[in-house]
Amino acid sequence: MDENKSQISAELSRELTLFHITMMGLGMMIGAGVFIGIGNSISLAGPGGMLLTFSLNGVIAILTALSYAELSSAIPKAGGAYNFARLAFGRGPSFTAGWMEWFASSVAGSLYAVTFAIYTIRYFEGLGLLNWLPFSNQIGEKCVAFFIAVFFLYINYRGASETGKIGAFLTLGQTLFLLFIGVLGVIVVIIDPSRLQNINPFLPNGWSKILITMGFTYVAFEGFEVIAQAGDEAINPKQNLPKAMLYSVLIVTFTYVAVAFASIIAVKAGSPGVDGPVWEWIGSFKEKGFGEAVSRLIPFGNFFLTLAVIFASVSALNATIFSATRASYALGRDRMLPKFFARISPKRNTPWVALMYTGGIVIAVALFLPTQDVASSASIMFLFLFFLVNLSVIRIRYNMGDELSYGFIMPFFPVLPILAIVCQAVLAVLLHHVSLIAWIIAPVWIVSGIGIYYFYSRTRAISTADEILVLEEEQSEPEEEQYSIMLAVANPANALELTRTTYFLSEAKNAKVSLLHMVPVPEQTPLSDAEKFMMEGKEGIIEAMLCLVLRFPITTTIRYCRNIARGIVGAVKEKRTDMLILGWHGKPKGHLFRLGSTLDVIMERAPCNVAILKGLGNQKFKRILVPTRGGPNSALALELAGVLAEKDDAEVVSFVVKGIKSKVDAKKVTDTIFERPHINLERIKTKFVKSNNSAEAILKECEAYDLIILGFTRDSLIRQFTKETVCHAVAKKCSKPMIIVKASGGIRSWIKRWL
Amino acid sequence: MSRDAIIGSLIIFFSLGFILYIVLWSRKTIERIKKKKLQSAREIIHDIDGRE
Repeated sequence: MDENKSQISAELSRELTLFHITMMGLGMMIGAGVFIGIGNSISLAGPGGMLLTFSLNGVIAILTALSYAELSSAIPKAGGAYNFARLAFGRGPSFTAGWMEWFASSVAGSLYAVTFAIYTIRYFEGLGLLNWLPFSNQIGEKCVAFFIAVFFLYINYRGASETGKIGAFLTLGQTLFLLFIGVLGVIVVIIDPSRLQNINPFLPNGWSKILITMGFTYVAFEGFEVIAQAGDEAINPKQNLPKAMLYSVLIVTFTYVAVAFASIIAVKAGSPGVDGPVWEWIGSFKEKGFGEAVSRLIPFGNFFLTLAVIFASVSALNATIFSATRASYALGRDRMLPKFFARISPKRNTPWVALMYTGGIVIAVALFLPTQDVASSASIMFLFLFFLVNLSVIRIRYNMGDELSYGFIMPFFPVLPILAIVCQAVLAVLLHHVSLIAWIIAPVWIVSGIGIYYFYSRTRAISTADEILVLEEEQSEPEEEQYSIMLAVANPANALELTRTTYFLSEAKNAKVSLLHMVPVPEQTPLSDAEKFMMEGKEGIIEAMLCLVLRFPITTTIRYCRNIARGIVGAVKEKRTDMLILGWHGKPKGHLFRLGSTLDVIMERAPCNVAILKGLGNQKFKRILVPTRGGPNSALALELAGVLAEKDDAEVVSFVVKGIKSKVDAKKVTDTIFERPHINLERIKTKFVKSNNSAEAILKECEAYDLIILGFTRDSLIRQFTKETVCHAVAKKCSKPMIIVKASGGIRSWIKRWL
Repeated sequence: MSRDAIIGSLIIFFSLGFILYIVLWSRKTIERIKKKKLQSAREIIHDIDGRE
């Protein structure tokens, strides 16, 4: 083994695939804008005008998405508009970008809270369950908006999040549901072409209204910019960030147009309750117009629609709260705002002060502004923000185009960003027709921000190491052929105990060993900042490493991640580990997980050999039991047993339990395994037992041994959910030191791989 | 079908088509940049102009 490999490095766990970050953008975009916007825009612009509104807004959104895509590919580190503006124009505009982003995201959060409230109240009102309320439904909506906002502020304080696979699949479900509505609309028209009459007159109020409706519905297209904040955690960020942004705008635009079309033709002209043109009827319900239309399109439409709106709005609310919190946290961290904005809760590791102030904005806007003004305020702020980003992309390309390493550049430069700037300026100006309040709030906020910068931030902002944030991805060195073992340590106190066994294995394999310590970081805190305050994990692992380095040559990595299991699996893949070793305390949590939520996932997904050590300590083992069923896991168990037996001069017994009525030739099972390489046959004896309960037979046999090495089960997924496996039954009940192993490529079913 | 409907439908059709074209072109460009290991904007533009 090479000597003097003792070093500690810190790294961030890249866990987000293209699918995840695309869903992240989609989840933010499909929050409220379309649900609120359809009714309001059709009343102003008519049916054709509404379709044009969403189509043309999609074009403007894709122009800005191109700017974000180009900048994110060149500057993939988390930060978004704040970092882009800093690079392009310096600290002043950078502060303005962050200041606007904070407000825009907060107000968007208000909109999502209000949307949730409107559709929830609407549903229960439709069921006749709200007649007892001593106040009007409008007050009820404000109350519900308040409580849902407070709830998600609390969720964000705790650090919990629905992101990850569950969140991504929820967003996928929402999108598919909306697309289903669109497809249904097309089917209805094919069956009953007379519904197309609902589109006439195409533009009852003329072309001029379209620009106004585009302005206040533009908020439906904001959300893709949050993908830029995933730069620290996305896999292949230079390629995947731009792709995700563009894909999300594409999917959302087509979805909105389809849904808008379905809303128009959902109701047949002359139906009961529909007096006059259908578009006027939908428009009369304002923000509830979409719900009224779609509930007539599908059976139980009201219920499904309410469910979809609830999921979409809470998902987007959760995302905007932590996006807004991050924006103000970043300003506090860089001392552009008072440093208490960067305060992290020692208990929850979340930026609680930034969260509190963000919550203040979310709740105040949700409670005190009418819905249309909330939507307009959010839209206008995002229009200004995107205006700045489009300017930044032009300046950065001209000033730094030769220095940066781009993963993508936009076509027709600089025509497209200039076009985006002009369109956004026009939309912002025309918004005063819809909401004068928005046109007062937005400039007041921006001007106050400029004032804060000049009188406070300018003299206090600190220079950060990444003042100019051009982060190249590290080029990995060519991998050596040497066998690689990774020891993942959750509790540094256990590191020494685990390392003894690890070292024996590494000697036998002539392997290099690395020690990995995972530090989970809540979503609300940028991964790039975790290292500054996550000292707890770092100190512990440093102590362990200092102890170990005197005895074993070992490299140590601290890895900051969102989810420990995903982080470990990612590290295994990146470092091409041959064997992963972990410890286990021996107490499974809950009935859904066998060994634990982390270990189960790792056993399923790690693309290498895995060994879980329980209670080994520093003991020597003289008698080792290896329950054998055949297959690669048993073979690996016997191989490990051979290595340990060699060290401690121990006896190894391959223990085969055969069912009483089973016709399987047990000796054939062992013979097949013994033919595999790396198994030391000299030390292995075989023992056969007949029993219908394998777990009981093994547990009984265990008593006479010092160490049990067990192969992870190969039972089918369904069987594992309906009946406890032998491995788990033994692992739970056996008090002896134990190693559970899974061979690379063992346990695969397509269902498990997909899940 | 009124004149507004015809013009409006064409605008919708071309808007959606434009978005789709941009996304497909961008995807192709991203893959090309990655494959050829292009770095600066100048290199990429030079390569795109050569391609077109």
